Amino acid sequence: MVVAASVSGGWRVLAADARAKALGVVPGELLADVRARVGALDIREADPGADREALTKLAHWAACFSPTIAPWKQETDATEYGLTLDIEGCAHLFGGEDGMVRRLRERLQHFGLTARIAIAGTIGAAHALARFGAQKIAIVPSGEEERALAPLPVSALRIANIQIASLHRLGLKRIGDVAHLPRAPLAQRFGAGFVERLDQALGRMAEPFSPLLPPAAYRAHAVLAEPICSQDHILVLARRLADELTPALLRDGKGARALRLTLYRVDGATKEISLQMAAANRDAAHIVNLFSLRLDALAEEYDAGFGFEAARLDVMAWDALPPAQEALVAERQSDNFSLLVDRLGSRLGLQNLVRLKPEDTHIPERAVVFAPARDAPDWSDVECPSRPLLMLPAAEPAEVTALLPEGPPRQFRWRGVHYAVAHAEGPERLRPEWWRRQARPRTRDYYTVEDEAGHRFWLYREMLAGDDVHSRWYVHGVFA
Amino acid sequence: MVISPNPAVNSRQTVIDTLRRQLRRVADRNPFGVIGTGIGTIDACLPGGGLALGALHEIAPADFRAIPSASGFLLALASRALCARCGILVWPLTPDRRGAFGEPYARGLKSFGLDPGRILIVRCAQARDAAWAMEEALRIGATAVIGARATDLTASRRFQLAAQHSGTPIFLLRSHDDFRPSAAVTRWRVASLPSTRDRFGLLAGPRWHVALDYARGGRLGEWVVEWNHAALCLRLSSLLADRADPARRTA
Repeated sequence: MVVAASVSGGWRVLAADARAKALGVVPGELLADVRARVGALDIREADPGADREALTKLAHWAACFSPTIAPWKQETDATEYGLTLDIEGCAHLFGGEDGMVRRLRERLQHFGLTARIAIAGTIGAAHALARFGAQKIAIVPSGEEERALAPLPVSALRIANIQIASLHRLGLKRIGDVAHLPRAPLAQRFGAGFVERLDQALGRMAEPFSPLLPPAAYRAHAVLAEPICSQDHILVLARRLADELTPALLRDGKGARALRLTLYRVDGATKEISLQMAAANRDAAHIVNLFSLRLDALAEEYDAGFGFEAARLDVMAWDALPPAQEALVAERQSDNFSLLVDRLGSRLGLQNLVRLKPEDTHIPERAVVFAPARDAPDWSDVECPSRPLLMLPAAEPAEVTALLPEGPPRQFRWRGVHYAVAHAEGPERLRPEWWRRQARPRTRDYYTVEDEAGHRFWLYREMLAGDDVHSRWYVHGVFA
Repeated sequence: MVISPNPAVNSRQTVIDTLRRQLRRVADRNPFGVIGTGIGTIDACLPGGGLALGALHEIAPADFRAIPSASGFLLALASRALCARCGILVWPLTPDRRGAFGEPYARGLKSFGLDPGRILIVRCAQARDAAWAMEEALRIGATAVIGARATDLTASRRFQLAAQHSGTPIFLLRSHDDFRPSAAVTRWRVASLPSTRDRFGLLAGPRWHVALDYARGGRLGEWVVEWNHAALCLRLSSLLADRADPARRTA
């Protein structure tokens, strides 16, 4: 099989698999030449978008080896993709660097991917060795980057084609040829970018690294010998991870506000379960409880496939939570409240838990807004004139008969029912706020109306400024 | 156990034992105590002298148009429960409930003695979620729970058990045409009546016809009650008292 794309000068082969290479196909050839030479070929069009997506997916999966990870793509060559992992402090989890590389390669082979892996002290060196090294696996001990890089061609340095060409013209073909040359003339001749890349590879200059996933200050990680499928097992695993996190949180006097549990499926897919909490918390049992509710809510989307082989628990947001003295008698009310909000929110969504907050306006439909459950709105100073208990989502028109154009209603018809007004009080005149621009401000005259059976309504007459004739009536709310 | 009126039948010890047993039965029924409705004659009909905390109470409107009145009476009872203890009132709202007469309006709730800041509204997509939320709220932390949805017998038994467990009262607004059995401890029916008037002939407070249709271990009754917005309490009211004479008003 070959992958081809339309580039300068027509369709060219971008990549070829092992069997195509055995037939003599070389990447970069014109597709027409290959077709003429080799008969039966499976030719596919290149899809850079899908490639990028697959790489990102792979990067998420590879985060089970190290959380600090970034995918890269070689600009000079569309077929070269890779991942950079910062394995500082991670290798021991897999029995050292050897073990880690072996496991990584094994897993990638399992996915049907051929990988070249290099471990080195600098990003540049690992990059060069992975792409141009003699072996498929290279592990360079710290401090030996220069020796390892010396026999590699200069094109391994992640530099532009034009720089490579001018280096070749001068006979500087290997990294060893340029490593010891004075930097100033090199920079003058080939640009500062070249010297930067060279020094970065040799570890003489720092290289910035922007990981794909935001780093978490607190995280726990587990790799399993056998994949797990059932929800109970996942919860046991989550409990273990949460237990691992708790001492660190307790030591720093912190509590988690948002958590993310990442599950790594055997086939390379990842599943993320995020959790938000009303108040900082570091109680492992509580956290696991919330995850259990989340998993219940996810029931349909939850797909274990052939099982999960690794898991990671990250604390995405945290707050100060000073160590508290264990209560001897009873729980405090506020703790109960946040417990309740967490439990309800983890199944129904925190955005569906709201509190009523007063707004400083006299427009009835704007005077109350929904606030997040975490806020505790203060209503003690709010003056409430006589207002109905239930408000319609939108005022509904009513046919009203009044004796006078500006008088109170005598009878009205609403939702097809006729009501005879026994008593009406009003009007309470509400005008639009003058600081809001309106072409034709509408004034409302509110009446509290009671019919003969004792049903109480809140009606209003809407009038355009300076137009008394075309007024309309609406029912806005119902009193108890 | 009935104590026979004939003193010859009862030895001193059996009387004491019987009384103790009765006392325990009464005490067990309301282990969390009661909240008074504020009206002596109503409280006298309820076992223990008030609405049991940790129990399910149901309020139904007499007809469709009495839903606001029934909501008002329900909130009046709930505000008594909130007065007694600190904490939060949990109120699940399902979309189909919004159809009838709209959503509760915080500024109107205030005149029923409820602090709107203490209400946690839980927006639920389905009745099943609302039932789950109410049960969770009963089990942990809520001070009172208001539900707006008639439930089947199994669900109401679950509510009653959860309420008994935690001592949190739950008030459910039933539909007027829902006569299915339930595990509620009290069941009320509320009808609208013309409001009371103050001495200037203006609307003073809503008045309802309240019937206690069922009370476990209590007596039934019917009353006309009014809500006093100023004193924030329920009062007994008579149909004619304080009503200005129409003939004199026109004069």
